[in-house]
Amino acid sequence: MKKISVRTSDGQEFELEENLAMESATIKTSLDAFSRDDIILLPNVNSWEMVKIIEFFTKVQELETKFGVKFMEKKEGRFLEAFQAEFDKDLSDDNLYCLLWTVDYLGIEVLLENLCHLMAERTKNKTVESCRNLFGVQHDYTPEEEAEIREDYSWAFEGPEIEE
Amino acid sequence: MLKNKEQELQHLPEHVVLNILCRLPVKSLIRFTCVSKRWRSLIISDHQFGNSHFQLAAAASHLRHNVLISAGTTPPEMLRSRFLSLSEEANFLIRNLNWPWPSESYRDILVMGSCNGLVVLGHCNSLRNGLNSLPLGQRYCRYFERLVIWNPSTGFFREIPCPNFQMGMVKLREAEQEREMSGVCYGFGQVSASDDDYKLVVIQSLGGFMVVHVFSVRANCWKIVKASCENIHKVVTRSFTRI
Repeated sequence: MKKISVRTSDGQEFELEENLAMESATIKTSLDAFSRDDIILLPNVNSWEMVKIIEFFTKVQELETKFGVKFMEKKEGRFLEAFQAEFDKDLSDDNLYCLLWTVDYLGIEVLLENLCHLMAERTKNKTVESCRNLFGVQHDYTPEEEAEIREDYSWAFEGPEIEE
Repeated sequence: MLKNKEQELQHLPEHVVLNILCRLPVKSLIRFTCVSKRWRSLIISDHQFGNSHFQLAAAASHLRHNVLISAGTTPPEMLRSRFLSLSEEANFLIRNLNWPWPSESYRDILVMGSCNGLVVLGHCNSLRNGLNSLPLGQRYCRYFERLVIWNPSTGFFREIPCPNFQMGMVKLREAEQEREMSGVCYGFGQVSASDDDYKLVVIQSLGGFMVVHVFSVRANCWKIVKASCENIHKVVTRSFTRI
């Protein structure tokens, strides 16, 4: 299997198997434009992110063998659960946010879907302020406007599951 | 892509934010309308978003079943609203719902149908002095004054244009008993799951004819289809089954 070389923003080089590299629409476009012997530069990707992406595909292959299911073609419940549990460890909210950006930039559809699911799980019980911080959203309501929404839909702001 | 806290993070593109939001439960979404005006606009008004959210929730079997309780035309005093919700998501506590016409008489409100969490309510004209004042056997007319599509989960609603659908009524027995004579039948739903539109269908029988009115939510307009039908009772059922 042909290997494709990429270099991340911090100068580290990785060798990817061709079929893995082709999962990224961005890398695929570069490969179509340039020779496969050239190193592809990825100035928007950090080495820790590349490590995570390679980890994802390695895990996919492992679980595909174990469950006998083609992950890319069919989303199997147990498979997804096993994957989520593995991937969820050691990834802070901010790091997950960064990884989401990078995976979207690289155009890796299947990983993006999974990370969005993970992020949704992490976000759903957050407070409004915590959500704003995580997504870097500008607060543009006046205090009166916000108070009106909070009063009209007070049930949505209460509950034991909502994190502090 | 940098992740040091000191350095500024690049913002996620909107399509990724939407991809995340449409996996969230309704309660979180309502809360997050407070995050910013842009988020509020996406969550409430974006048609594509609403669709994606429903489809994902249904596919993932996360769609929680809620029960809409219609408290009847004269609810007991302890119930503050005509409509209440019994929801797994809210730990099965019964919750009074905000609904579109809280100041109207409950007798005049009809639930005309529901589909995918949306409910159509019709507001009929009031009987001026109530049924008690009408003699038995007397014919009279009621007609719809207003129609609304309402989402009980979020409380949001949209009034839709309302043609004059008349229902002929006759008072048969005492005050509470009434019956439709010239019928108006109606139903609400999607023609097919792939059709991204909801239709409200109202069928009036006028002599030997059926007049079928079809409202398209997406187009926001009514169309009339005329059909002749000798015996309306064979054809018409009270409400259409949703697909």
